[in-house]
Amino acid sequence: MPEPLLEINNLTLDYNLGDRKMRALDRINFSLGKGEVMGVAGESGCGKSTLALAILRLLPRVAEIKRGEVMFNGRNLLTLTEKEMEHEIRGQKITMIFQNPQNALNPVFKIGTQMTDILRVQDKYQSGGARKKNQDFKQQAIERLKLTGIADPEARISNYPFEFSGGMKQRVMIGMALSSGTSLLLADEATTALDVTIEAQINRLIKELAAKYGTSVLYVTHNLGVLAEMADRIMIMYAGRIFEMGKTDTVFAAPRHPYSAALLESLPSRQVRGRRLLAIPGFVPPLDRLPSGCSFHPRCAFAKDICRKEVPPLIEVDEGHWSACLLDQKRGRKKWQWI
Amino acid sequence: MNTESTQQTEVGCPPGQLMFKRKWTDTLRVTFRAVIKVKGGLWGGIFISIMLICAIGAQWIAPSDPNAQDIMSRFAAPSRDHFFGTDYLGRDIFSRIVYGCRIAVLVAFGTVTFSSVIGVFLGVVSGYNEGKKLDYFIIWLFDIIRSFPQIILALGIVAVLGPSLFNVVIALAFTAFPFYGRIARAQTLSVKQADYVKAAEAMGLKPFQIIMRHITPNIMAPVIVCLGMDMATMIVWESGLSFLGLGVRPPEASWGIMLRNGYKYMQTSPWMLLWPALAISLAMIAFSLFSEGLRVALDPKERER
Amino acid sequence: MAVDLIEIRNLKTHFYQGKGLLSKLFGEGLKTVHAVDGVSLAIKKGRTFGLVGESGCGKSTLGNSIFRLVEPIEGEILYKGHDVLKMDQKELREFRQQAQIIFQDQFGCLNPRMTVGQIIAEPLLMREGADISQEKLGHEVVELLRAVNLDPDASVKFPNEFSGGQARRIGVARAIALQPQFIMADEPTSGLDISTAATILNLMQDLQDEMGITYLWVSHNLNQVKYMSDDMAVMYLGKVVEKGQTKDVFSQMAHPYTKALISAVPKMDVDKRKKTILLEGEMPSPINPPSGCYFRTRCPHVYQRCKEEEPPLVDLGGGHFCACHLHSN
Repeated sequence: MPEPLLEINNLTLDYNLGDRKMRALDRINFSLGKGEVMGVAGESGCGKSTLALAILRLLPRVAEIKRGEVMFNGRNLLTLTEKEMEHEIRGQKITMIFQNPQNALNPVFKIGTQMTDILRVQDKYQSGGARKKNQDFKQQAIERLKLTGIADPEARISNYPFEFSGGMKQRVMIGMALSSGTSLLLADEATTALDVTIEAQINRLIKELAAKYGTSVLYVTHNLGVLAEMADRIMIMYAGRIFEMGKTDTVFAAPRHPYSAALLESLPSRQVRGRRLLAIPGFVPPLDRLPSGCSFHPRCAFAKDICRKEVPPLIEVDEGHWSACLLDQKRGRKKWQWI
Repeated sequence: MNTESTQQTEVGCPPGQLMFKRKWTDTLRVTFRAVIKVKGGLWGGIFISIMLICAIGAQWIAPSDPNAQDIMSRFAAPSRDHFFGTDYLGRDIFSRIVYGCRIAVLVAFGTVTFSSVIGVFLGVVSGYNEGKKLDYFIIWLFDIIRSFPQIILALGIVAVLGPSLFNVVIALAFTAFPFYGRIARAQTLSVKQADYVKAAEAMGLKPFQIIMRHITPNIMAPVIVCLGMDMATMIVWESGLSFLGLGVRPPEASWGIMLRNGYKYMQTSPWMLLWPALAISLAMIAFSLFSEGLRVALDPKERER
Repeated sequence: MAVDLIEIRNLKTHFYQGKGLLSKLFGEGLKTVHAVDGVSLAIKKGRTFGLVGESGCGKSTLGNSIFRLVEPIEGEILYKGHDVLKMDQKELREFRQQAQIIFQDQFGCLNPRMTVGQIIAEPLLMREGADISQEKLGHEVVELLRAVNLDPDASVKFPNEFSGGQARRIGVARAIALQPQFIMADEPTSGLDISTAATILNLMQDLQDEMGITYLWVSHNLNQVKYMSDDMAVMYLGKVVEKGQTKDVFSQMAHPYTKALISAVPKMDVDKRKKTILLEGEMPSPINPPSGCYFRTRCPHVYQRCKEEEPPLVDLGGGHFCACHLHSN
């Protein structure tokens, strides 16, 4: 286990929507090592994007962090001032890429202008005012583009965003997000909007650049296949909780939580033509009306009485493999460790 | 099966009976409730209701006949006998304002009904036949009418037809319908691209059915908002035409005529000018606020806030 | 061997850009978008035909051309031997009742101002005319809702009161209302969660088993096409580069593009994970496609002949076709 870079302890977060209170994150505990790629998977509304946004404190106003801490390099990000977040963390140490790069690029400015603007701001916060020439920033922008594998960056830098395809825009975003100063990259469905062959290119790029700079990656996606190829470890979330966490290969080969197992069974890639897919009955519950006990029990094929009453804690069921299922724990596993 | 949908239906379905349609009263109630949730919408709604009540029940609300002259009490200041005072013929201004509501409401609703029905119909037809000859012809028609300044055109029409309430409505509707046509056409062009229109085409529906069932209901939201705005404008225009002597014939109690009579005596009896001016302004503000409320209520994105 | 329900012969659908006054003034001629450029396919009755390719390859345009939602400029579409492109309005309307579409955008294809009951009743009303009794109509709507596992209560609600998966079911219910022979499903699980997508796939499989519907399954998701379809075609830049039975295409993929496409799909199982073939660059614009083989700008095996000659679709045996010079000899 590499030295931890990010440790999230007991993070609990509510959305207060008028009379409705939704628990979007419930006692999230995990740590992310330096240079590690952690995948976060789950169906929509499970809180995976909220988790990424909570780390950067980019949450909407209705969100309220109830308790917990986000330790990043030994500092609790939740107690930093807004100014400290802006000057030292966001865009500097922790960067984020989103599903739609076109929303992040202003259509009326040239790519180069937008890149140098960001570089100038970063430089200002880092060096505290040592003046650099425009030419230096432009050169830096060209280098960043070159890193991301965009052909002919000198000419491309004076193009407008509409002249770039979706994949190329995402390359620009990655080029801006990943540099030697970045220690954590949050990727929120970064390749969901792209075609498979482009998706493969982009994922390869993220992996290469992250390895080059020793950057840790928190890769949020609903696509389990992508995580199988990208992530060292994955966690599977459901209704604001972590249900299972462990080495990617272990989780996919031998899932310990019934939800993870069912999710894997419902993928067509694992089934041959003509055989029915396993479909999990029912729906993901709305966050303001979660069932009692284990929130998965109404859909779980193995649910017992106890599942309705007790909330299962996340327990290390095997070396580095965590699962939150009461039945698994009842069966008497080697290690019992409560957090 | 429906455990997932978080929204509760506001309209109940009687058990054992299958309903496809929501009653239109239900739809109206739901929309109205959303409008008055918006602060301005509530105030606009209140004032418009007052206007409607005045318009319908003018003979019971007005303390005296609006045209009854009382030479003895000419230019009387507001008092207990005459709430708003009297004019140069000794007519009770309060009664005239109340009766004036009737004309304002008639003009406002009459014009927008005429102009929106014609305009929306032509706009949808032209948008649906985009790029065809019919489309070009309708746009050409709109553009010709719109190329005249609206008030001049209205003046001209009334001058030809002769001043009367009905002719004012016709004239104003004629100048306003291309405006609705343009909105309806632009909306149709975007709604036409929607998958549900494609689905209807792929199902084999005839163009007329597609227009009536799938396009028109979905372009109405911005049209209805404009209706509200336009009612305010139409009230002002009617007053303008009456003010110029081309609107409703005196001694009919129109706010515009009252304005015309009032401004001559502005120095000595300001109430003759004040009350009709106030009524026009309030009516205008009320319709604007109400249509803003409608805009919010009809926009699903805004409603969620 | 099943009979062909739909046979497409050398279909071309082009769009024109730059029709405006400005481009005429400045002498820029019409730009032709070769959306579908000479495609021949046969869709067998009662089976599922998978059509895969990346966005912009023309697969949706091909689907829309079958329904004449866009007008092809050349070619034939034979439905039970009748050419759809030569049908008059009445025949076309009849054809469109036997063929239905399930649209990609599960909410966009439902009229937001109609209740679910009205939406599903619409095709029934169209077939029966206005004289169908409300009772019978209601009965049929309930049957259809049950067939797609929705509550009968749903009929009085509006589409925005449903989740993505439920909205998709409503779309399916409307599509099967007229008991069509043929359904084109355009990315039927896009925007749905994994477990919801699985229920939709199961549902559509069941409907095919019960009603013998023929599907044209348009998708970029190769796993899904592999699971759902019997025959498939891979499209690239408006052309079919490989087609055949799904199991043949996946086991003996011949075209370099198919190979790259399949290898790019992320694999779950450790032992199956082979090296991904990464393609250089992106798909060229269909306005100005490259000479010769359209794929040559990204192909790892490109040689001189690819630049000069367009590769023909060659039979590799067993109805497995591939358009690549590597296989033409």
